[in-house]
Amino acid sequence: MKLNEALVANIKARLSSIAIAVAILVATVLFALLVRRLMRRSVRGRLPEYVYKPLENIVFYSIVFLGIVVALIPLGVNLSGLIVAGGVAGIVIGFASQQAVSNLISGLFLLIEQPLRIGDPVSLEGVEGVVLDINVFSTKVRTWDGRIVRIPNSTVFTSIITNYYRTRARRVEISIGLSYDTDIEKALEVLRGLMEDHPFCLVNPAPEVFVQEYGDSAIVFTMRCWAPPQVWFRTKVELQTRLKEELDRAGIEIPFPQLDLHIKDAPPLRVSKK
Amino acid sequence: MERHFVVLERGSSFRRGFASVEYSSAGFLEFCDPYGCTRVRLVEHDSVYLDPVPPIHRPQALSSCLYLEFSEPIVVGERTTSIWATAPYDLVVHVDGSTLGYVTPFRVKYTLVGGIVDGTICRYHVTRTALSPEGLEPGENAVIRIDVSGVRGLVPGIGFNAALVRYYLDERNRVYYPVLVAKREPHHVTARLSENPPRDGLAEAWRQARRLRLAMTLPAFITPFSMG
Repeated sequence: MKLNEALVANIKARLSSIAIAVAILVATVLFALLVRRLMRRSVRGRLPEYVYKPLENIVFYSIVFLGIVVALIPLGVNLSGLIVAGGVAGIVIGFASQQAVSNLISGLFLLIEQPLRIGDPVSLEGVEGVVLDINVFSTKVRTWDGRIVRIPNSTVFTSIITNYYRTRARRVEISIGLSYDTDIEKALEVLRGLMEDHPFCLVNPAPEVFVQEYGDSAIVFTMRCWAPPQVWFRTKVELQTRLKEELDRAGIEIPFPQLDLHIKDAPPLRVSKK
Repeated sequence: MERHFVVLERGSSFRRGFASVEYSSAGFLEFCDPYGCTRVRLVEHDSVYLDPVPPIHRPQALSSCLYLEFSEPIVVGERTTSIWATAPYDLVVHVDGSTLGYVTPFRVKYTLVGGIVDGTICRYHVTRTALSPEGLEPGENAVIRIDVSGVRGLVPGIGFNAALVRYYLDERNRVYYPVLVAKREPHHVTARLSENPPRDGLAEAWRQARRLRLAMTLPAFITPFSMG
């Protein structure tokens, strides 16, 4: 009888401990959600998205993690033992889910190093586009033609990343073949004027234009200017569009490919009268 | 006391430099500059306002920095000298503070101040200078007084943060910047806009940005002499 009472009391105590632990866990999650909501209201607008998103993740998961640790106390779990157990469990989980852990760790390194940020136009692993999201396991890129590509963080971390926004200026380069009849000085002046007239071709570094080569059918000119990366594509397209207009206005010809054919020892043409 | 730069009523138009605004009697408003036109129809409002704002909106907002390159580089001494110079501005087109768009009376160029990796993109303007406001012929430009001091030497140009500028207007509707305080250091110039009008008798222009306190907390802009 006494044994039963003790058992019931033990079960009651255990249940109340579990209830307390669950309550702590629920309260913590609610608190984390509340903090996240407050952060979204008050902090999000003031920080760039690439700073805010990792910050939100770190704060949210830190609170949840703390809640889990605190919830273990009423259950009588020894925290120092938990650390050891956690280490062992970590090794086991690590072996079992190597790829996931690799992605997680790579994700954390990516958040710390920030070789790419949300909104950056990038090229990585043959994928080109704008970074949509970087979370702890994967990075999402929206390609130029509108597809969403999910790349595991371990792949991102080990691949060569080209970030087009990380410099203050990016070079626009256009080459064009002009007729051999062209006055070279005049052509240089027209091409330089085109770049100097464009608002996004920077004054410094100065634009440059030069004869690249004497091709089969044309003198090839190359023009280069630097533009802010946000408007690089627009600058290139506008320069290319206006290039022909300006050349037409200056009377400079863009030749078709030409081939002069010389025939050796050709028999004379016979012309007969009818 | 604030006042508006231009107030347009139906059936009137305005032109300054490359900027033009047409407000038809039918309520169609069209404002243009070399970088495009915007056309809207106003159904309720009668008056349209144009006011000077920092020259950082057209053709596209890229930077809040303005770099003034002196047409003749200036040489400063150790005591503070006031130099009067020309500067650009944009115009905001609005109805009762509600922004409809921006136009620029000037051709726009940008430049990079500093290095390609860590420099700053700035709106670029070649400025004429004079030692007194009477000696300056600003034309359609705004006027800026630069109080410069520091280490003796050459200053080819000065960049500064122009995000939140309080403009002033004179009786001839000429636009003025507040005083720009610049200090030449051995390898760079630091510059910051004050809130002080450059001369007496100017009226405050209508302000789009009200957070003036924030303007004062913006760090001074550093223009290095090496621009590579």
